[in-house]
Amino acid sequence: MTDLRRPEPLDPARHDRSSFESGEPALDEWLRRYAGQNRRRDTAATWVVATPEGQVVAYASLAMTAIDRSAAPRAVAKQAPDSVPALLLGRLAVDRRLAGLGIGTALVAHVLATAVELNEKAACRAVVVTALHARARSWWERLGFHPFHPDDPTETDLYLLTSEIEATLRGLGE
Amino acid sequence: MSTIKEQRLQIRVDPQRKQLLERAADATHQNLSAFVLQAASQQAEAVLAERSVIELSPQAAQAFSDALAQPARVNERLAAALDRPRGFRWVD
Repeated sequence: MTDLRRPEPLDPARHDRSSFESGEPALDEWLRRYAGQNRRRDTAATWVVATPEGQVVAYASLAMTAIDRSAAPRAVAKQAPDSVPALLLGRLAVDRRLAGLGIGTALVAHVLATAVELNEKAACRAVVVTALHARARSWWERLGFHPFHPDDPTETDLYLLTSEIEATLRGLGE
Repeated sequence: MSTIKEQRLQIRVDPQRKQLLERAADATHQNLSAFVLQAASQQAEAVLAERSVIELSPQAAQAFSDALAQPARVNERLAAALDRPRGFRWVD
């Protein structure tokens, strides 16, 4: 069975990302060229799963965001603030040579646990993802994510509420 | 990514800019369409992945607010996905 290190923040000095290949060129390019720099500019944090030798086999980029619901009908807007703090899981990619082992799901599980922790400390009401295409959208939906626009088949933004993540993790005894 | 390219995207461009794009496409051994598409996709992905605000349409905002107001409940799909056996193990 494949041995992997638990998710950890990307360390350009220790992690080898040169041969990473997810099949999504934009995601591969970003990991190789921009991920380290981004950390310094504080726009996104990169978490990786690596082999014991340090080769990156999966990564996720995380950023804080705000869900703006000011477009809601007035009755809703009155009940609560327009802006809801959330965690944006902007990128998720797994090396295609290790596809199907559940590494992507395990990395998402780590991010979801992070959201629960953030919510306890500073309010983080949801985790948001963007599906780059229809296949990605159905992957997220299989994980339980909900499209923001429930009836629009072209909707690419999906979310999980932190409250349901918490309830689900508690149910699993994690 | 879909490999069936049935949609067209037409862009007007001045001659100088087109020449610039062609030179860059040549330098990366791509045809012009492939080069422009790759560069634009890269940028689109970056913009979407690092939004500081996610603006919802009226209908989406309504649906999201309704969901937030509900009591917390177990997400069965998520529970099933997290419970699935893994084809790897963590080294500790």
